Amino acid sequence: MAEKLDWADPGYFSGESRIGNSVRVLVQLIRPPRGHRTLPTKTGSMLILVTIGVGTAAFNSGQNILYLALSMFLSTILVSGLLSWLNFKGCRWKLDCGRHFRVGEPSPVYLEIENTKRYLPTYALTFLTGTKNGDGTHELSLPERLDPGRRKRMDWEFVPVRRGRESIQLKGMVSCYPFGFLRKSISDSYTREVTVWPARIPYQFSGNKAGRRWQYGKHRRKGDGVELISLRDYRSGDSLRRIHWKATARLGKLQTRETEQEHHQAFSILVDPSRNLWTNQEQFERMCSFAGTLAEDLYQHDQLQSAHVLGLKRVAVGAIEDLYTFLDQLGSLDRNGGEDAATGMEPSPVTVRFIPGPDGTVLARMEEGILGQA
Amino acid sequence: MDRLEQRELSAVRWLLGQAVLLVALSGSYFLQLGADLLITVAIVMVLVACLIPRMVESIPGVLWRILPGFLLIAIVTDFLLAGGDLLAPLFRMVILLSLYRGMQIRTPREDLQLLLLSLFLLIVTGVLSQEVTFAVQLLAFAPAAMGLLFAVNLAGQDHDSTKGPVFKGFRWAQLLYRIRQRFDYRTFYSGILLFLAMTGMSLLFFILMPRFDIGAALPFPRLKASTSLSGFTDRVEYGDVVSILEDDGIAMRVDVEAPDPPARPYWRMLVLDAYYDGGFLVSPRVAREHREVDHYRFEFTHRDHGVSDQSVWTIYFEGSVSSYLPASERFNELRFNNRTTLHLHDLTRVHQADEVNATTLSLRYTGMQFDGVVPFGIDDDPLLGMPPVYVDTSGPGYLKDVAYPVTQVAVPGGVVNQRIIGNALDQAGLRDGMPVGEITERLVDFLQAGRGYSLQSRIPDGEADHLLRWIESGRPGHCELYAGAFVLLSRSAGVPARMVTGFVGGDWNGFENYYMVRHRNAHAWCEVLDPQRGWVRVDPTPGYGLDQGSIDDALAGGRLSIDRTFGAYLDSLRILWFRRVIQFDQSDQEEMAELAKSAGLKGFSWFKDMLGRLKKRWEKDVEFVSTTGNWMEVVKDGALVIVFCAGILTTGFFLIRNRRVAHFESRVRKQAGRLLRERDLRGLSPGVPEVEVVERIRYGPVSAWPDDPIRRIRESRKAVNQPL
Repeated sequence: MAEKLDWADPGYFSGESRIGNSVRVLVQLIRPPRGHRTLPTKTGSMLILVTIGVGTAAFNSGQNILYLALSMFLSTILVSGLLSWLNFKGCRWKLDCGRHFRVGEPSPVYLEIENTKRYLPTYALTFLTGTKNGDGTHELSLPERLDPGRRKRMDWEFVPVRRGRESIQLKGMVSCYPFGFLRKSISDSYTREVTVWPARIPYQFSGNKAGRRWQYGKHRRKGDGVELISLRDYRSGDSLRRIHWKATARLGKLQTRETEQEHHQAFSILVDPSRNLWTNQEQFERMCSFAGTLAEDLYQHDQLQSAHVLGLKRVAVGAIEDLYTFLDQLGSLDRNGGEDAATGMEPSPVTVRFIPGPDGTVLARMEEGILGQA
Repeated sequence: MDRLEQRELSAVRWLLGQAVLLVALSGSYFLQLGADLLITVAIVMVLVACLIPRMVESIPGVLWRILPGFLLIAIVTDFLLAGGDLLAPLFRMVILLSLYRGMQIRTPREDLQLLLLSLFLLIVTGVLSQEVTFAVQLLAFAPAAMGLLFAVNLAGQDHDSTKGPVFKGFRWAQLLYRIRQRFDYRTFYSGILLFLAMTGMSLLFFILMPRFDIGAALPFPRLKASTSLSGFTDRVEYGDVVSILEDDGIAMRVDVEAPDPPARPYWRMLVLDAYYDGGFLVSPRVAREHREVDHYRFEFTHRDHGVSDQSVWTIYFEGSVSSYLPASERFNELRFNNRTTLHLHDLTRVHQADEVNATTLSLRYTGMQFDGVVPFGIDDDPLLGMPPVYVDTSGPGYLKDVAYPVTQVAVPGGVVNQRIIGNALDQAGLRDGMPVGEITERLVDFLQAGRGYSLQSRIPDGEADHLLRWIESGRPGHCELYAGAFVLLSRSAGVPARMVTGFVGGDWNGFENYYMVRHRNAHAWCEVLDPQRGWVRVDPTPGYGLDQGSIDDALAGGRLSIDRTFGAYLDSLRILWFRRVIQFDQSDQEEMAELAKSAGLKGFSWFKDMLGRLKKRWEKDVEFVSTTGNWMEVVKDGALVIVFCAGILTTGFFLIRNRRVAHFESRVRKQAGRLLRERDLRGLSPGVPEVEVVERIRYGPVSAWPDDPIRRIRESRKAVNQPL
């Protein structure tokens, strides 16, 4: 897939033909495109009032000086509208953001704007950003002149408030350029869908009391030992230390060593999202956060074998991407209405399950019993 | 540092506000609204603030909180003391408020307030003065105001910019250096282009905006002067007119549309019918009996007095000259730009405005005649054949017993006076039964014989009347003496006479072809009653009696010089302003429309003519081929047509080829994006080829697009729509 260049623009010149574009622009003077609005500001309203006053005086008194002043005001309004239009013309922008969003943690969202005009700079643009589920609108202002052919990136620290699918929206662009008489806005121009992972929460988990001890030589499990099991293609997240440079040079692409785990205590996480189990939504949310946090911590200690959300594909956790996949699954997880899907599944000694606890708590349970709580 | 800092931008914004205020204040300086001192103080304070802005910032904030109360008291007091006059205290109020804002470090909102106040000052100044300086002011005000608004808008974008000190450690040199360092030519030229576009658009609006009949217009306040020139009041004492002669300022400008205007027109303003020892005056009856008419158009075509010539003369009469308005002896109509109250003195055919105008007044006359004959007045019949009336003219007290029209035959009584008059008439060689024309001729000859012209005439002491002593002395004199002496002698000879003051001649502006009548063109002359013709102009002052003929004759004969000095050029700008702006009305619009129409018709006929010629040439060539069999001429013509068409096609091809890829790109991306949204293709597996193509078009670089992206999008749409 080629690099994404997800640019949006005001759509003034969307046609191929110059004549067609010119006609379109003229039509748009009478009927603006959908989402485009031009309204007078307070200053503009004052100017319009003054213009009406001077115009009335001019027509009633026949004073050419007043006609002259009236002409000046009218041309100012007209030029203001024209410049406002020119300010947007040739601009294009895109919204970019990191891949991972987590509840309660700031994540950068980047808004990049480019002025593709040949000669004229662009000034005083304000972007209105927000989210579908969040409250309010955030303003990102272009702090200085954007010269022709230049790009500018503006940052917005977005802090998600709830888990799930989220739309980061560029709700519109606003500019009062050049004289602050008219507020020109283009709305609903851009949306980017992201998945917000559950929040990290404090929990208790006594992993050393349980789990199966994997003995060296008995089970050849991949891990951070020294005994080479195999080579595979490099995956994002792999440590550079594990790259097998000789094989890389031979094959022409990065190769990673897979070594045997020498001594390990590993767990599998199983998440059961059934409505019968989780009658309380708040508790369900807590469970998702618990599962996510636990999975991350286990992964960091190289103790996560697999993660499985019932009803979805089981994820065997080898690289960081696998963990992300599991967190994505948690991010978009809903309580489903089926029966307890875990019923009848073969019990595993290393599987950590989550069950509702008292007072809205969530318990982590294995064969041995309750090992953790959040 | 790449850009100016916010603090520097705030300083620029503040300085632009000061510039806007200075422009507005400087224009209003010349208005006589009793605010000269206030405006002077305001200008000085604003200038000092500009030079030392740190001083403004160091003014304690408490002062700005206390001041509004004092200002309010001052403004209310001013309104109460103005005695019902609203304009002057309103004007002063705006100046005070502007100064209050001008001396502060302002927020963007306060900048807008200052701009509004300055705009008010500017427009009021323009409307009241109607001077060309308003255009200059507007040209200076518009870019400064645009810059200020732009800076305010930018400051509004950054809320922090209005906080904190602006001028701490400020130095002009440093700011100028920084601006020079960050000067962007592109922005500068764009600003100039913007200004020109705005000016052009304003002119277009001004020309195209519909005008209505000013007869229906509401009266508009005019500035009134407190005084007029001494030679043009109801009472003219000897030396009054002469005192004006040293003044080289412009009294009026006369725009002529007549085909053959006179080289030295006489502009009648005031008719003084009564004499007393010391000067002439308007007799009480003449001053009292007048019609007061409030209109913008006045017709003067009385019985048998209408003038067939409909040429237009426009006089731009400067302020503070006189309430009496200049005109020729006869004309048909007088129009003003606005409704005006006019006092029509039918007895002497003089018209007077209700007040002395402080600013330039435009008078548009139709059908002016300068033949030197004023038609009989409505009360002139008793004068025919009336003998001279001898009265004691030592003072104007005799006017209690002698009223118009008898005032025009009154001469000084007394033995000494009679002796001098008798001697003068004898020396002039007058006899009984002489026609009026011959009497006036002989009297003028008598007065001019052996005398010269002098502005400083010394009259010998004696018992006799002042003027008669001058007659007896034979010394040189000026126009007032000549005219006064002639009036007395003429009356004594049985010919009613009166003195007239006004302007004569003027300089001819070579740039815009109009008369520039200066104060030094002020003059006094006489009118005598001819039973056959009416009141006939007689100018006994040496050098004035000769008819100069028309402008063209005078120029050809070297009797009139064209003024082509720089001063005349500057003055011509004023006349342009009056012609093109102040006097612009519906008729001018119609004229311009006619011009545009005729230009269009000319262009069309030229095109038609061209086509006709081409057709003729083609027919000629065809005929030539049919007679001679030589195809070369037709081939040449055909080649020309082909080259022409090929040129057009090639240009069109390159224009289309050079269309901006970005526009096309934008359109194609939008189409792809729409399809993705409609079909929710994002959710499908990336392996589906249709999805992959559409996503590549939507997000990928143009280099990664397929050959015909629009066709591929269409195909993908079809493929996706197909049932599985």
